[in-house]
Amino acid sequence: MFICKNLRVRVEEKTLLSNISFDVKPGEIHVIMGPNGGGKSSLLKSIAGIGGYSVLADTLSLNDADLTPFDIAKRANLGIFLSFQHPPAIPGLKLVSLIKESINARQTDQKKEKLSSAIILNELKKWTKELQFDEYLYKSEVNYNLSGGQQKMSELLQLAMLQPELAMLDEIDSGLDVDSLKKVANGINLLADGKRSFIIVTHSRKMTDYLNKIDHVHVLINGQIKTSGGKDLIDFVDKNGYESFIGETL
Amino acid sequence: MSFSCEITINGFKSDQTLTDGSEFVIAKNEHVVVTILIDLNKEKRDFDWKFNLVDRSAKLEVLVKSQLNNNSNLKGNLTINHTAAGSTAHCTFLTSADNASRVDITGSINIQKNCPHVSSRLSMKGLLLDSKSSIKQQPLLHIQTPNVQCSHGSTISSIPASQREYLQTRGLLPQTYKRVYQQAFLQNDFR
Repeated sequence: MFICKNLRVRVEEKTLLSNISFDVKPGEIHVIMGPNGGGKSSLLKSIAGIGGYSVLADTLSLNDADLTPFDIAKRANLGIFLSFQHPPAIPGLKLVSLIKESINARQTDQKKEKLSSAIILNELKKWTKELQFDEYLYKSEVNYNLSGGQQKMSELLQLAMLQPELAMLDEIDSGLDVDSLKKVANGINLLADGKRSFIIVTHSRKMTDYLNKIDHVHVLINGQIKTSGGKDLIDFVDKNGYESFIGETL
Repeated sequence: MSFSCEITINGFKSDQTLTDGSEFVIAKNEHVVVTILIDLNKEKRDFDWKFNLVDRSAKLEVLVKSQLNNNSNLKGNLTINHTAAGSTAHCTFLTSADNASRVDITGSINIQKNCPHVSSRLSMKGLLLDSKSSIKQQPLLHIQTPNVQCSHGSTISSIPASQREYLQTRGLLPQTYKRVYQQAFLQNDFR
């Protein structure tokens, strides 16, 4: 279970987030929506430990482990996965190699034996088939010479292989055509196995329509959660926009 | 003392070796590819290599991949001399330095008089993996003929923050992400 209580985030003199509190139970899918510049990506980055922010919280924990003293890699090895909005390219590094290094980094962190290339490759082929992705994806270099859609599929494939407890997806739907969007959404549905939690940042109504379930929706504006609700909140936002939330916290 | 390298001439492996002060002649109808791997750990090496292209059909590709660790030191010069019109050369340095290592290398392209239509490129890329290491790389062009194509470039960087953070979010500790990134950097050959 992920618990976030009174998270405050600053960078230099600017407050990015204040009074952020929400819990994500095992298997839940939370959607975060809000206007551009509202702090959605900053929230995910703060949880992952990146961005050089000053982060304070009454509680920031995953499965009772306090995250605040831990660096980015440790948080990842504890089970936090962040899918980047704009994943950087790393020419020369094959995706299969990155996945192998990542899996074995977690194995080492958990004092388990490293997995062999053969085992990892088998698992990779299995997931590539289940997600209906092209084998070209894991043979390619990380985010290099890939289309926007392929980059997002690469993120999802990494998620499938790394098996995190909490998967945070930062606008995984952005830049996707209709077919790619369906593939990515189907992939999320497949990976939402009832034990793994998701926090999904999205602007796309279509994306949320394709998801089999959404447990909670949070509207984040000007660094604060203005309101939370169920899937019907998405309908409300779609119809009325965000203006009705600006200036008040409900 | 020789350097680890592979030399092919027109696709066939050559027995030639590369020492600290080697000089090669690339002659008529020869396409020579030289790949040099330098892996230093607490070591110091110097080099002074010359490649002379003496015919219009002469072609040369040189790739120098160096990784230095633990207070290592690499210093040297590589010179490509075009003494024939129409000859072609492409030279790339990929150099990484970690744990207080130091690199000081110069790459020179010399195009002699009366050698038009030469095509020659020199690219030097450096990767600093810690704040105590240093890389000094100098690409030089000496062109004495008009009507040639010649370029040189040099970049030195550390691991960009976005890529470092990305690797960290995949659980990689500094020792691992540096190794992984270095390997990726050295894969980039003639891009």
